[in-house]
Amino acid sequence: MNLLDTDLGSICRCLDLVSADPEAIVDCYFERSEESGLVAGAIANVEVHREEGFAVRLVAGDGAFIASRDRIDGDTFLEALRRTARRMATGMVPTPRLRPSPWPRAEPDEAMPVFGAAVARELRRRRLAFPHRLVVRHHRRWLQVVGRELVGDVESEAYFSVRTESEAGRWGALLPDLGAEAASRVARALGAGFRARDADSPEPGRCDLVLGAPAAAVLLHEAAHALEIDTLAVTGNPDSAVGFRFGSECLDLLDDPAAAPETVKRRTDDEGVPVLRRWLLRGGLICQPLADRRWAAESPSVSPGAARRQSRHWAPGPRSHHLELVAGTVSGRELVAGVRHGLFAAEATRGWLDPSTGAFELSFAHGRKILGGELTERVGPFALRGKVGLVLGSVAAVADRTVVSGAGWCAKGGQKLPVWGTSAAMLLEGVDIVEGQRDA
Amino acid sequence: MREECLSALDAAGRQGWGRAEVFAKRGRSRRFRLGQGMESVHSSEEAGWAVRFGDDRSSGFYTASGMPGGDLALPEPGPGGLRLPGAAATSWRECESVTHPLLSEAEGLEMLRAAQGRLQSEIPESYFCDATVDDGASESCIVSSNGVDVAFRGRAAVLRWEVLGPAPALDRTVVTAAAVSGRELRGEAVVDRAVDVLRIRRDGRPVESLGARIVAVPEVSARLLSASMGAFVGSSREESAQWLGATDGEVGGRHLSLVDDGRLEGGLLSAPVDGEGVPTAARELILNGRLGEPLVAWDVAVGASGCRRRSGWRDRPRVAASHFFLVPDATISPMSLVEDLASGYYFVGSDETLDAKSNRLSLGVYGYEVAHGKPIGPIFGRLAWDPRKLLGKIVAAARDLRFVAMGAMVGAPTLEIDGIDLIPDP
Repeated sequence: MNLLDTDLGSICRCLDLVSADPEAIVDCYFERSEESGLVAGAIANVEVHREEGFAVRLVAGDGAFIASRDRIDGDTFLEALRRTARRMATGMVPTPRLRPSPWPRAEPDEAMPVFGAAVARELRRRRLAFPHRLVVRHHRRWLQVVGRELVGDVESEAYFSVRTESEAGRWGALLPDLGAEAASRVARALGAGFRARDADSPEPGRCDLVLGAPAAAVLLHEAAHALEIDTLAVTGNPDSAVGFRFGSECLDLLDDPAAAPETVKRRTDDEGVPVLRRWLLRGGLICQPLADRRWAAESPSVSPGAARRQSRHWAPGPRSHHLELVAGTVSGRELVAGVRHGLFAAEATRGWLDPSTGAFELSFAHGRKILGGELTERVGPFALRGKVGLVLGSVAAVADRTVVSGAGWCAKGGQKLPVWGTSAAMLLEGVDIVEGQRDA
Repeated sequence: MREECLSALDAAGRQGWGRAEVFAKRGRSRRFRLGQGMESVHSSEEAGWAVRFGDDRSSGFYTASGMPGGDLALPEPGPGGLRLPGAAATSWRECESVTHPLLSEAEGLEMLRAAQGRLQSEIPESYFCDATVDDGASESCIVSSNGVDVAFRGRAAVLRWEVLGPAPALDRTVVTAAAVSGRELRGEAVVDRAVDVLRIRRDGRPVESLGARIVAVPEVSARLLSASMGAFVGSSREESAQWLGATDGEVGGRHLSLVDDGRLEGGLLSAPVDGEGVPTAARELILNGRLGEPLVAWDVAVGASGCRRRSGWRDRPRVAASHFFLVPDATISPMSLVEDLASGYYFVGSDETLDAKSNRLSLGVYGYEVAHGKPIGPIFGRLAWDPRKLLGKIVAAARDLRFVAMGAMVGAPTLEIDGIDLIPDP
């Protein structure tokens, strides 16, 4: 889809008038998004949300000025430009011809109405049938960044979010598509939650913990927050973090937006800068923090290309898009077999990191006990708690098979963003387990 | 905006949807931010609209940015009928602050700089990790095929300051405040709350006490109270009574009255109608210790006041509290509650979020140990409580009602609570 029907060169020329400072960042972020949703099982409560707009930005010295608007036209653009530039006389610039291309007709994705039935079939295959509510949403987003000397290509993202509610509680996931594997994953999670609905929480204390690939993706996403340059700057000089040991030697972790699932992969970030295959951790040592243009200008050791923003009404900031864990050498079965007394969690419900202290928590709705190297009884809610560096330092092994999945919604700083991961099961030795909360 | 909404309503009618409602909202806001060596100003102008359309058997919901027009491209509806409320007359007097202009760039940044200056004069080497001030104004309009035709304005300003104390401890605290307009925010008082918490964290000792008697300032009391709010939202009276363990309707002492008021004078969320155009009103959820009527919508209880709020134009209306508060006692001063405390704790600050484990909630709190009505030393810990039983433990309320923005505006005066546990910080 074309986003704009306009001469982008005229936008560049307008932006060039915003600041005479060649070091200043001046850009305009154009955006269009569509979300359609329905409660699966029947095509009921059909919802379609569409919006478009733009944000003009000036970052110069220690100041940033943004003007965001919910419509795209030449007059509105020029008004926002003047507000951002702060010193731009009226009449100096001709109003650019700027209009968005027409929207296509609003239609739910064809896989959505039948996804509920596909999940129900998968549940029956597992000999399960219980009342549940399934809400599926299709998210689509197009964006284009225009700078003083740069016109980025139109980038797009499309994915699905699924949310279930049942007697066992709530569960949600992000899915690149609604194919058979997606239905199987949702049914597997729903079924596991249902079977563990009355299980007691495990005893708090220290034990070994095996995480399934989806749970490991959430852990790594939270850990990656600590490798965002604005987070590092909260408590010190981000440049000094490079080379610091942050995890065990078996942890090799990248952020690679270009390697994300096909419908969400990116060539450029939300500032229009080409993305990098960025090594965050190599052998557990910090390599290259996640950075955007503003932070990269201040820190010579980092590169931009990791800026993300929820929408035009938010300022961009450094954030991971698609984390990739390098596979280990042992099978998932061997990970479990090596544990005498511990826990297994396939999925995590949420993660949390305090950037000033490194305090970290990862919550699980249910899991299994591991005794003598075998998965045994189901357990109810529990949480892993500790300092993020110590938790990553406790990773003793990574499984040899990686799986692509949505790590979930990230909510750092109030910005809600989808995050993706290619991760593998992992074994954490001697971590602190505390009581969890049943999400009813 | 009204004309545009009516035009969209006509268009829905032309497409065969005799039952439809159009909601539009536009607003302007400014966000000022200070932190990590950067000052920023973000000016937003947002506009969007939503249409609900359907009949007895099917319905759909469509939202879009910008303003509505006559060229609707509605999606195919799905099964599930749509009911819309009828029009009802209501009187409304707008709060004067609604007309106040937004904070200017200079005013907003100066508020932040002055606050950081005050913070650093009190505790050198402390700083704002991330401090924001948001000031916004909006206009909304609802028209429907049932004759609803109403427009109203809103105004809200909130600040959230995340403060870090000096190294190496780097104690962190978050303070928030809300007012109708940005100029009504009292930045100095908010900084003082952050300074109190940082000093207590630096100098205080951890305490544990089961069944303690405490006095808590409104900002702490409101967070405790917020966990009980769900008992009164969208449930029947019987369900509320069952959850609260008050099958005889007795929830607490005669000093305990809880209200939700969608048109509270000077309230941030005050409006003549809710998100469907039903007139708002004060509703007594608990009156003198006895359970009143919970918040339910017009299609559940005949004559119910408007309580289906819309968070914005992207959202469907849903039953929610607006100004949920414990009624203050005008005869009791806050400090008299402390002076009358023979032995207990006085809490002046708390963490921002509650922690939930099983049926108990906990909240990090900061304050002073009190003996014979006098503070004797700074302490900190975690209050832990069962939200179903909290209301019965409230023994007195003072006169100083203040609100905290937590989705809804949750308000409480300084409260005295007996029999609440203080547990160690994990």
